[in-house]
Amino acid sequence: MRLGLVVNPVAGMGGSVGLKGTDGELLYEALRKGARPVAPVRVERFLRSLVEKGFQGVVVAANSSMGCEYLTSFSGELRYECLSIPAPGKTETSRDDTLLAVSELVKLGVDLIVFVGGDGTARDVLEGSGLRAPVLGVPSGVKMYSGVFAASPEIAAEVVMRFAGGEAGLEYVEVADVDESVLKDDVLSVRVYGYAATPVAEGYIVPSKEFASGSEEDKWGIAKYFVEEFMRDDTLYLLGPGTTTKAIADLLGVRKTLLGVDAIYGKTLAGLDLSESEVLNLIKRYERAAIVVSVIGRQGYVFGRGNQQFSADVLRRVGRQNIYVLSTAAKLSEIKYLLIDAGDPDLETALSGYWRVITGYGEETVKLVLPACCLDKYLGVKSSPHLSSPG
Amino acid sequence: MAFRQAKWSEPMIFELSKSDKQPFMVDSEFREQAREALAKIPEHLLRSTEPEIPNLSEVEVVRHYTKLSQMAYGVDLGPVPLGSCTMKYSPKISEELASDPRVVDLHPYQDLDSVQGILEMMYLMQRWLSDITGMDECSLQPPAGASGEFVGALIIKKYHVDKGNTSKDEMLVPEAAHGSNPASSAMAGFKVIKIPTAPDGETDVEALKSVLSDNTAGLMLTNPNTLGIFESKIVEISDLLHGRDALMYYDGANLNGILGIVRPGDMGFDIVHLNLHKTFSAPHGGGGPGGGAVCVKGRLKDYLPVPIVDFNGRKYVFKYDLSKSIGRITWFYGNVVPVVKSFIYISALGPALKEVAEVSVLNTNYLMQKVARLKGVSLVYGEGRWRKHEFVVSFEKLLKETGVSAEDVAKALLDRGFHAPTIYFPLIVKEDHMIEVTETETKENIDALARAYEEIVELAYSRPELVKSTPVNTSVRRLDMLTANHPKTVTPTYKYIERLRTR
Repeated sequence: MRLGLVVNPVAGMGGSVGLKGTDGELLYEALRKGARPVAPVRVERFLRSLVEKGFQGVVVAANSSMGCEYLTSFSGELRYECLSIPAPGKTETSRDDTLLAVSELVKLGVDLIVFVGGDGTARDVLEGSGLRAPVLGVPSGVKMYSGVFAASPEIAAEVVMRFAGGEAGLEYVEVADVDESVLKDDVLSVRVYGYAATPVAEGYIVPSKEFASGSEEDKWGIAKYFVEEFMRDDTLYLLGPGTTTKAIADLLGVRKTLLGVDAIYGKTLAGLDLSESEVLNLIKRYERAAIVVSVIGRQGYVFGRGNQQFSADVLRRVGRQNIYVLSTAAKLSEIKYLLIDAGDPDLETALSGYWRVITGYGEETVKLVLPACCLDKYLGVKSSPHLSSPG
Repeated sequence: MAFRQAKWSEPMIFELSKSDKQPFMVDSEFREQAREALAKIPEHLLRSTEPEIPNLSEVEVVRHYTKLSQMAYGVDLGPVPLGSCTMKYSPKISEELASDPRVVDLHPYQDLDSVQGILEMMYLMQRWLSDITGMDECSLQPPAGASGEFVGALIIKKYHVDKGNTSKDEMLVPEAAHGSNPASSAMAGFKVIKIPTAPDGETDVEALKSVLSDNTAGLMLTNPNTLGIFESKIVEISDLLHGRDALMYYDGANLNGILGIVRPGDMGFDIVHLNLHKTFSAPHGGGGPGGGAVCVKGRLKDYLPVPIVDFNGRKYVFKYDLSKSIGRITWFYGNVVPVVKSFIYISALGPALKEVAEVSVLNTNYLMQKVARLKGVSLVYGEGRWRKHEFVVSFEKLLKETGVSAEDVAKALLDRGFHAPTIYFPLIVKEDHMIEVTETETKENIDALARAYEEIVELAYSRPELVKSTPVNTSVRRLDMLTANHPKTVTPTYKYIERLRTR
């Protein structure tokens, strides 16, 4: 099997600094805010897992920081070839390089193109491949609304293995992205840019996000219950993105961004649209801190999608007992289990287990939370509705 | 056997009535008697306006209701496989006996010495239902199943409050539970904690353990559950709950699957409600009032709603002085007629009551074997397991492959002379039918139902548009869901229309 590999080296960098993406000009803003690269670690995890699972094929990678560089520095046994795109010595890569590299991979007749990035990269890969090759995403972006992403780098490797072994069929899934020009104005507008063929192994691919699920009334019930039952005056509340968490701020009459992480203390605003480091600073300042997040529709992510400010470091400091998860009952019923992608397999595993999700006024639902890194360890049971593909 | 329902454009009975018509005629002797009777009633108690009664002759009334009945459907016409509703045929003998003037003409304020017979029946029912469920005492007062659940939730509340455990405010309810369980819990002031179902179709015990705490007040469970699967770890679950001084509530809606074979009391349940109108054959669904008897273990018997019937050694009396009673749940003694019908049912069957469960389970599994193997149909939970009183199949695959949904399949069943099963419930199974044929359907009827499913599924793959346009043989064709439910277009009751008119 010949496996194409294209990495967007800057993908995901905007996440921890509170940006809603890293496309275009946002990269410079991310760098200014001190963002650290995300993709290299994800590529490494993907390659490591591929070797562990006994991958026998050849990896055909884009050049330098878009693929090859990770293979040359990789310590495991893996056969690979490098393209000359982008041109050697080019330090700053762009979407044109992605388009060129992908169409070159198609020309070379690779069996599958794996890309490392988010929705923006998925769009470029789709455009470059023009449906002439199946694609699979290793999640590394800020936004991942498209249906081409595996749950984690390790799971991406598992899907590749299944595809190589003829165990995974192809399915057309949505490639979607947020319109970033209106995102800054707190408007969530998601467009479907096309459909890509992706290998589908039961339970391993995360479906595209479902939008606006559950009525306003449900969200108010959830918010009211949270405020009355759980909110304390001596605790800093870090509210994640989404309309359900926003309902809490609305109820308290406090400002909140729809897509950012905001903080409330003593029922007043303590921080708006925070980055990871700002979140860490706040946690140090206040004695008690709690995180309030909602579930991403159909995909089931609690952490790691659209709220990367809640990094592994932040989650460790806050602790599981201070994390509250909200979801409308309708949204939750579409999801078999919840996922945590904190970029840290040990932490993800430690946080997994049964969680109580607030689903209405005076109503909570117990839901299984799984580590995105190591989903394959939990998916052993055949035809189990809990552990098969959500949605 | 082709099915075609009558289609009358029958007006409302008040619209049939004409004021200029000759009124209903009575002879002079009756008139005289009526006048004498009226004279004995004090003036201030007499009504000042004419009663609103349609002015129609007997034949007009009979024809009106015959036409309406021809446009209706019930167990007397064909199978009603509504899951969790236990729509069994109700023998006519109990209808006849329960219509006896000694039952229907009783007054709740009548001297107890003049109603000793019916009190004895109620007393015996309290005893029999206790024996059947493995409990110690029953109250027949709750008038419906959900009312029984509410009583149970109130008992749990009061039990903990009396012990000073005011922090016990969480009721555990499986996600697959009947919707009235979380509703009853919430009405009684509990937080509802929903427990997921494991792949084998049983309550996920690990998930249950993860939320058990000193705040846990109780668990509301039905066994067999709404998937028709017996909760095999029920004793372990009871022990877990009791270990936290939490109470076990048994929702009796699904008792038909285990009647006479295993008792909720022996599984560790503390409180049980029974649907007399399901398991014990009192007709329901427009056929009569419900009966939601509640039975409890000895330590809870003083919490029951009053009155209960007691025997003081000489005669049967109503007992009101239960020290911790949650009070009344409805007026007087609840619905007595379903108690009488259930009394007749249990007396007629005697030890053969067990066969009810045996045959209903046999019928369920026989039909399941035929339906679940059809193309596009699947059993989502508990594959390879036998069911008890009902089973749940998903048409998710059929929908994906043909565009024909579970609702379309249900509509197509109507066209073939069957009532639809329960659809889109339990919520944990997508595009589902929840099917319960009970013990009273014949093998021929079950075969015919299975054939209807087979035909519909085949048609879905060959001519899906034909399935989607059903029903066509019924009095009313498919309704527009939006206009049928929207407040602006929904058809209110006649009484409500009248109120609007006269406003």
